[in-house]
Amino acid sequence: MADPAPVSWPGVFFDGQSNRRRTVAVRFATAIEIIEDGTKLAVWDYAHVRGVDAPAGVTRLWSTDAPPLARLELRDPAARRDVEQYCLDLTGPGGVRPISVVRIAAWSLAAACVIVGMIWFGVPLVADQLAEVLPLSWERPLGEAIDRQVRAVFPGTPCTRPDGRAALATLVANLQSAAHLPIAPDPVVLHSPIPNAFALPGGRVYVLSALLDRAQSPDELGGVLAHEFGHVSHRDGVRRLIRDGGTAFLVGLLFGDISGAGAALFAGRSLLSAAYSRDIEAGADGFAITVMHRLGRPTAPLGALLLRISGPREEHFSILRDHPLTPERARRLEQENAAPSGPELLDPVAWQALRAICR
Amino acid sequence: MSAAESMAQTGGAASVRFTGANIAFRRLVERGALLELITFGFYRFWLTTDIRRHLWSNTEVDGDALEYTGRGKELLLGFLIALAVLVPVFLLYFLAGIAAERFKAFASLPLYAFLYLFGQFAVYRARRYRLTRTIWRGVRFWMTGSGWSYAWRSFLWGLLLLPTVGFAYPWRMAALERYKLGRTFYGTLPGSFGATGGQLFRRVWWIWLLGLLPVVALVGGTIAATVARRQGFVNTSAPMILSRLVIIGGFFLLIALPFLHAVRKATEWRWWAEGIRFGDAAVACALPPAALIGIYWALIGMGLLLVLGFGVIAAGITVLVSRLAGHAEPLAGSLAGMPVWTIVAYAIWYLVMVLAFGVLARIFTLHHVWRRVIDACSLLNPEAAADVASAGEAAGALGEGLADGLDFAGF
Repeated sequence: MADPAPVSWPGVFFDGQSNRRRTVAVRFATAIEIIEDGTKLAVWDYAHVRGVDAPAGVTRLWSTDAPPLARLELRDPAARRDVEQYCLDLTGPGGVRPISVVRIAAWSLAAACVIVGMIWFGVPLVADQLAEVLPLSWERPLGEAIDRQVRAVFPGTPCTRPDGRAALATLVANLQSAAHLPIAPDPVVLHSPIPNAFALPGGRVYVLSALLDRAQSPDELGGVLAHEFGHVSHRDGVRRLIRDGGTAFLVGLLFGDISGAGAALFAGRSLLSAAYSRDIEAGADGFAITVMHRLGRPTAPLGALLLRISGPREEHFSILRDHPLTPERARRLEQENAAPSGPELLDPVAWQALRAICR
Repeated sequence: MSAAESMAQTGGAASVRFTGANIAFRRLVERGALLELITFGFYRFWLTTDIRRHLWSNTEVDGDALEYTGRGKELLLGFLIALAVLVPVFLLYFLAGIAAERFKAFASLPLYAFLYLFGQFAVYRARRYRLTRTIWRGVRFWMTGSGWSYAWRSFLWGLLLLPTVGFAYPWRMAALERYKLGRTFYGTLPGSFGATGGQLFRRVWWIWLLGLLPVVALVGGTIAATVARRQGFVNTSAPMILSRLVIIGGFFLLIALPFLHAVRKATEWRWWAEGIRFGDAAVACALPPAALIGIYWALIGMGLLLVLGFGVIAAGITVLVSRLAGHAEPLAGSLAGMPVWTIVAYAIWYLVMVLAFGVLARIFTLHHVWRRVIDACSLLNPEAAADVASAGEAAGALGEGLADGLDFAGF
């Protein structure tokens, strides 16, 4: 290497000051000599030469001593062999180095773990804290906004038979006398073939008509309403909203542009939110139990209704179930059950009127 | 065209061509999609960079290939900085949206306008990033101008689209290109945009009208059929048969839409390329209007095959689920009753499908179109672009990150 045979190769040189294309002779002497018509334009120390992007068949070089965009191009395969032989730091700082896929994959995995950890632990924590401090006056407009979306999803019209509504108002007033919600609840019954009930942020409670068809006593329906009032009292709606929003945002962050917002919502809503809902449902059940105890009414009918709707079979365990295992809930409601000591929540006439509210 | 021709007479013309091999690009994007899957999407910064490096370094102007000096790490950094900007913006947007919903429907419109403005700002800044990493003959491209100023222009011109049923589109394109190229430099050589909206309009107005035809036929036919039925016409009566025929005709005209789209794209590309000027150097483009039709139909054909393939896979998963799961839960919603592994199976199915379509889109609408357009172009008056002194600095990647975060990202 002390005295390499000074061969000269044809090359193209751009000095990085102007875009003038210079046809040059490139000599691999003690350093790379770039010569145009016998004049040495530049001498590049081998150790400082870097390789940069080029099309196939072209070797494009830059020296860290030259202006940042100075380029030397060699096309002769033999010249490329010389470059590889003498320039030993082509991928050094400033040159194009092959990216380490393993490193990117490892960091991505770490980032994914952090984000999943934030979804699993951070988001519920933040949601709990925020739900505590968010004033009710903020929650109500939030509920109104969601209410509009819910009504778009459930096109069923509200059931408005006057005697049925009066009976519902009586039942709600009885429950409220023990529940003491900060906003007097005003549940709405919607036409729907799905037996279900749910509470929204801001205190709006919906009962779907199929649930009325399946309920056999005022205690069963009263238990369902007390459960939903529990969600309202615990402000689970806002909590869930913050949690779902935060989860969707973080999942979106994780997958970025490859999956789009749809997948983020898909994953955010179903895969993860249900995982925390066991405790929340148990909390609402606890609220319902307290209310029914105060009113001197039994708690077992709510469990019976749940079993009737979901069926007794529970074959596969799943974290995705929105509600905790129904038999487990029914068992708890059975254990807390007490013989009736207070007045009926609704008299038989009013109960029949309520069941017929949608007819 | 005439300006370009007269220029061709005064100076020479130099070749512009694409030297990359199809297979190299295909391997690049297929491998990239796979890596995106195993890196939870984080590989996108490096994939985008590699795609650009490939396209740039295989684009040869007057015998010398372009060079792209951007790096994936820069895009990642830009994305992280953009996050710091976007998180509070989105939070404010969310809260403002709730507040606005109370005052009914159109209240949230200004918010969409704001996000659009922000997106256009990002588009401009992202262009600056790409441009300042584009090197030809050892001199970089760069640009001045303000992202917000561009965003306003884009927004106000966009407002004109609605009352003109889209006919203002050519003039909007021309105005925005004038703004961008008028602030673009190659070293010390200033760029400009020489094409006008009128020129584009004269070439594409018929495409726009033809494109409306199937929509008019479908909507008009449906309305006519409904009205005829209301007025008591039976199925065999002339008005009913006629409106049905119009609807069927509309469906057949839908097949023409990909042709029209391909012709519009080719015409637009040619118009745009012919408008590019740097000093006295200009671009000539001989792209025929039909040049991209084959590419778009190939994309549609491959896309349909993919849909078929993934449909079969989804059906397989569903059969497996129903076999193993037994019964559905009445209380739980549609998703809530499924065991975890089915959700994971569907999620992987979905991600692989999205990635496969991404690979197709990149191969056809990016690489093949790029190659076709580049090969149809030549550089007029190359002497005017000789001896240009270098100028300009590399710009940061924040714009790229914002564009990524706002889903406004280009290639």
